[in-house]
Amino acid sequence: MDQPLVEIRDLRLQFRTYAGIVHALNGIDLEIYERDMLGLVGETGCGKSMTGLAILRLVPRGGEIVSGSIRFRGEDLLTQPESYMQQIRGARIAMIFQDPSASLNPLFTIGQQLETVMRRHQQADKREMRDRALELSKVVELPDPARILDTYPHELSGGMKQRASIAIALSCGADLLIADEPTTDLDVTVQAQILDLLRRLRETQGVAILMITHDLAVVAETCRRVAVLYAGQVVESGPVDEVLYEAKHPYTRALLQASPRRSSRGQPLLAIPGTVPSGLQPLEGCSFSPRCPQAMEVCLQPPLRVSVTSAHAVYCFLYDGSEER
Amino acid sequence: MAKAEYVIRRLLLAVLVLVGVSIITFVIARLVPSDPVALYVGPRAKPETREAARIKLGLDRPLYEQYLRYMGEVLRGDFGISVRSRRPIVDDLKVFLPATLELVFVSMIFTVLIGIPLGVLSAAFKDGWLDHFSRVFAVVNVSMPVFWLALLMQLLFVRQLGLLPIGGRVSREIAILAPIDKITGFYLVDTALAGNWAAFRDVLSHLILPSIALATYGIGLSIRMTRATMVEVLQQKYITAAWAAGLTRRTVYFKLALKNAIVPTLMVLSLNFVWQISGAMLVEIVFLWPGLGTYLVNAILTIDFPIVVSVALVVTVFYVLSNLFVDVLQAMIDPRVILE
Amino acid sequence: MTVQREETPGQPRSAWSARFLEYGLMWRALRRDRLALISLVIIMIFIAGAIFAPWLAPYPDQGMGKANLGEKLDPPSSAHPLGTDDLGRDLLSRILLGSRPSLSIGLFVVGLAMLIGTPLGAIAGYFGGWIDQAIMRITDIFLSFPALLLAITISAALGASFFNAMLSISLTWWPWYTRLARAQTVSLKEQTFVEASRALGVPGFTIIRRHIIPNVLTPALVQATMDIGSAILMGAALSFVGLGVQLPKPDWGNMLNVARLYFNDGPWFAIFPGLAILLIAMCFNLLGDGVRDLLDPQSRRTG
Repeated sequence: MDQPLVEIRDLRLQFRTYAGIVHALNGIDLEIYERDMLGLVGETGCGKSMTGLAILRLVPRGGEIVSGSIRFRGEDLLTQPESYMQQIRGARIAMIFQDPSASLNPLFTIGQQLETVMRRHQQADKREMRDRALELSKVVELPDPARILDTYPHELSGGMKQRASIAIALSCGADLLIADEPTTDLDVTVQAQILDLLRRLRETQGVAILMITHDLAVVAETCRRVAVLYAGQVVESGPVDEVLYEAKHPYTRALLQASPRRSSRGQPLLAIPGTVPSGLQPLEGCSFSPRCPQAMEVCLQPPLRVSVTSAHAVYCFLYDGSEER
Repeated sequence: MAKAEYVIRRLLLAVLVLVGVSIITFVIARLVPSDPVALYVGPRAKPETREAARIKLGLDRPLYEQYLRYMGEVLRGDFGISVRSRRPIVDDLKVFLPATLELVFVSMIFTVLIGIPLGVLSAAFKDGWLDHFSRVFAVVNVSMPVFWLALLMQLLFVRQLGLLPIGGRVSREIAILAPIDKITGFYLVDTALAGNWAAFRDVLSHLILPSIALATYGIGLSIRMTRATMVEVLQQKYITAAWAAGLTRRTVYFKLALKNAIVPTLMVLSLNFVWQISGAMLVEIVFLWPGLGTYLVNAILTIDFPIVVSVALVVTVFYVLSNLFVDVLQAMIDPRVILE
Repeated sequence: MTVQREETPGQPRSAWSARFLEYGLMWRALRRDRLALISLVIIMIFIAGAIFAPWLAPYPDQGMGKANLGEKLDPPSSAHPLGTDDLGRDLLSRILLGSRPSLSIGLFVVGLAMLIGTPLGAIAGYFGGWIDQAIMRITDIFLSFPALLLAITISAALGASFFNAMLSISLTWWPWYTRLARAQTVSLKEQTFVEASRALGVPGFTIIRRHIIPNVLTPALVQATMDIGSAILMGAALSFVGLGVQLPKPDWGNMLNVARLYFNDGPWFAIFPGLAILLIAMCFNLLGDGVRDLLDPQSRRTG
């Protein structure tokens, strides 16, 4: 494949809390390509949202990226000054959030919020911005765009709010859209609509999407590639079909078995024994080993990346693979 | 239109409150143990004179009639006569009210210009040196007895440094050499309108100390309120979204977050506006400022109750109006308020 | 028929005892807030000073008003650590003895306001309807007056004295507690335990006494701690204007009133009483901040 749009190598993120240092990300490796649809999936607390925020260097207070690199079109974002990041955010890389009621400013109309972002990144006069705003509203399939632009967020439904957020995110032609659980708080039918919209936007707007979610079903439906995260580490990544149907990592397998599916009707859900680590203890080796039914002594070492196929990689000592990197 | 409805409702409520206020003021005035008739006619008046005075002052009619008569007069601009000086109170008010208002307005300017930005920056750079300084500064301001600060200022700037005048609104030289044409009663405005710059500078030098002294409580209050609200607002997801959209610090802090945070601060400022009118009383005493405060305090000491009642009424009207103003402002800023 | 409540070991038996337990825990947490702790210590020192003033003051009779014309307006010296006032009285003694009215007015006013206002607010919030409307309208009207002005007016109407000053300031303060209590009560009313009590036929006032008041107590206490400083300031303002403690009895406010005339010759006379007011007000405000951060982190009132 050609050069990735975003390349994350060995990203480590720590938080200083009153209880000690929390290791949120422990060496993340990720690639996102142009027009890609990468799903970043894992349980709550595995670090997927943090990864998204880290790309934009919006890690909350107390958090520090201690090592690693995040390359956007070849440039390592972690070495750039804040002013550079301010140019990137919203214009080249954009983000939408889980609860659109919380992520839209209640005191400004949709149109005003669109305008603020557009004015920041583009020189345009009022008329051009208004036209572009109307155009964007149509692109995200908001009904009656002219009226919607003059309404306040609290007057809209959840689905419409999320569409508005997407419009704002894509207003300046971003190359990458980070979507942090964009449908989790929405009704099921609306969920499907928004996911559908995102899929189509990828083609029409030429934007890559990083879909952060805990729901494997969402990944299965919409993403082309997927990376499975556990306790701040990528355990498996690759094309969606390969990873989901030929899961190699014990965690991925357990996750798939724990998800309710039509075929498993009538059978008990298999929970994964144990709990997700709190991150307070520094990691020794594979983060899943304490709960892994197939753990071995060598698992106390940090697992190496094994290529199962050219695109499918797994981080597990169970596999040594013909091509080891 | 929902907004217009809201404003009208608020207006009606304000009128109701004003009526209630006027009743209470009136009742308190009538509760005064001292005898207004005696004060009016003097201690050695004959019974007939006293009786005539009673009727003239309307004290023989039932209480509610007295109230209605009083309100009628007030609404026509007649606040009655000072028991001591026999002059119409409204004439005195015309002189003293602008003096106090000018002081309060300048003081409010200081409050807003110093208090709010410090509060915003305090929250933006939370736990930094500016934050610590602002918080200490705010606590001191809020705990400061304003009349003491006024005295200290006089001690420092007048006695020690000789920089500024000790009191009053204008110095005697200016009153003689470059007298002020009283158009509005606001000397800054009047001198500027007339191009009387010597007087303008003089008036300004008289205004500085008292208005800063008066502003301290408001500054402390607005720093604390703005900071607290801003800290909350900055944690909201829509602010994170704003950062994620690449908006600059100036935009996020002063255009977005501030709008979300401003409403509680505005409420506090409106309360503060009226506090400053009554706090002005204390400052006026120290700086010999010829305003409502001095007028009121003298009236209290001479038990001139019509004056006390009139001043209380006037000030309260301002209070109610400023509350109304803030309510409407809040509705304009935060459209969700109308739904409540 | 009374329901026998089983005592679960370790669980508080009523809302009141739950409250006391909570305060015990809060007290332990408060000890970690250094600023609040220092303030509390200073406040205790002031209170001790006020209580033991007649014994601590080096010149107690001068403190109470006896003139000492030979030493008028003397600067601070070993004989008079803070100097003397316009009648030669030792300033330290005057300040110590003046701390009694100056401090107590703050405590009384807030106590009275809380005592009147909180139950009124709870009643208004609980019963709703016309009782609520009536109480809240009266509250609104009282709140329409600027507090200082109202206090001055009432005080003037009643006559200048410490007691009247305290009464008039309390009258301007109670509405805040009523509003606070009402808001709390209205939200509490919706909770299931109140509904359950009502379903059992518990009379309204008992519900208020047993359940509502202890729960509205916490925000009220937070507010009270923050208010004491402001109440002291208002008391000082009233005596500054001549409406509180009358000379020759000492009070920080009335001392400043006189000091104003002499600040050219004796600046210490003007400085020290005011400094005392500033210090005590700051301590109460800082303590109030600490208490508020601890007990009611949602609250944003800065008083």
